[in-house]
Amino acid sequence: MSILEFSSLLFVIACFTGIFGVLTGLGGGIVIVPILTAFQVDIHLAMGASLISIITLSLSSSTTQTNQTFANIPVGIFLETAAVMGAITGALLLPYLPIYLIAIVFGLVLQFSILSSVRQPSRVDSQTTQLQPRELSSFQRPQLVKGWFTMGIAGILSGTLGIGSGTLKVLAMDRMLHLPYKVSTATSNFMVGITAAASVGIYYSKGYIDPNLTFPVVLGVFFGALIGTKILKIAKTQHLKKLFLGVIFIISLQMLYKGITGLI
Amino acid sequence: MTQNPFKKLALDITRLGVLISVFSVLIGGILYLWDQGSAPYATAAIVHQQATLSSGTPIIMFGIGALMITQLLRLMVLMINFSRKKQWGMGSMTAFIIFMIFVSTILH
Repeated sequence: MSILEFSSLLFVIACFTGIFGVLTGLGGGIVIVPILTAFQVDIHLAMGASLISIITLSLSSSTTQTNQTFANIPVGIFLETAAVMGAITGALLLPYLPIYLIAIVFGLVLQFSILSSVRQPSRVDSQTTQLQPRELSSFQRPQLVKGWFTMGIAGILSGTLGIGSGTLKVLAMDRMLHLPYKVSTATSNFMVGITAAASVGIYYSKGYIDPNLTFPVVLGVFFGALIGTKILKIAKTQHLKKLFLGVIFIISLQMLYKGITGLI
Repeated sequence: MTQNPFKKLALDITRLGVLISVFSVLIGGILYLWDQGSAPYATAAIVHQQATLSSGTPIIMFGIGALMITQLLRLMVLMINFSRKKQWGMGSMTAFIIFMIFVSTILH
């Protein structure tokens, strides 16, 4: 296979990943890493490419009307102080972690994300009433402390696995801070790009960012997300979402299998 | 309804940054494929080695750098906006995040 063919294939796969990410709500990074490793790409390089695509997606989604209206920036900034520290710690730990362990943790995080994604609709229906922005001072201190530490863990996962940890962030804001689901999602979109940016420098210094592998991934995920947003507006996507989640579940099992057997 | 000028500035910076970045990555990618497209793909390591040989690679890196700068500029505008409203706590937290990103990027 020539580089042109490989890059074209990566572009198409990343494009589908972008569409999957929007339709399933899982984001791009967590799906792109196992797919790239399935094509024998080094897991560290796959994670580097994933981080760059996360920043692109986060920045481009932050310009949309929904994210501008619903994102709670003060809460996002407060929680991000923990996530950034976690991401840097995770990225610094990465060279010392065995690849099989990364694959196993990745597989587990992916399965957790799938489960959370399946459970999302009930929360959307029950909590769409209070969308007014809340001040940071209106939260109880234990809520903020729990949320802050959870964001630290999300940051460590982001730095170690090259993902945005959006699922964990949404879950923490939804369950611990009791923010409406729409607000949690918009705030998480704002946060994931910052968390990813915190570890990119370290990834680059370790040689985990390969520009020639990154470009088809970034372009594919970016255009895929644009297409996914259009599909989301015009089509009923429940069955498509279930199908995609099924595919991602199989990918997560494959990642776990590779990690446990040491085949990665 | 009038929009906060700082919010508008952050939005404009983000849009421009993403546009510059995506176009740079696209142009760099096309140049890279023009140079190296016909070479056989063997492993990711070989692709990585060939990175230095392509004229498109620096343009892709410029695009990636533009993304990072956009993210930092956006945070800086947020920080100024918080300080303007005398929300010093939020402003300091934003400054801390900018500092951490800066340190992790520059020192490594």
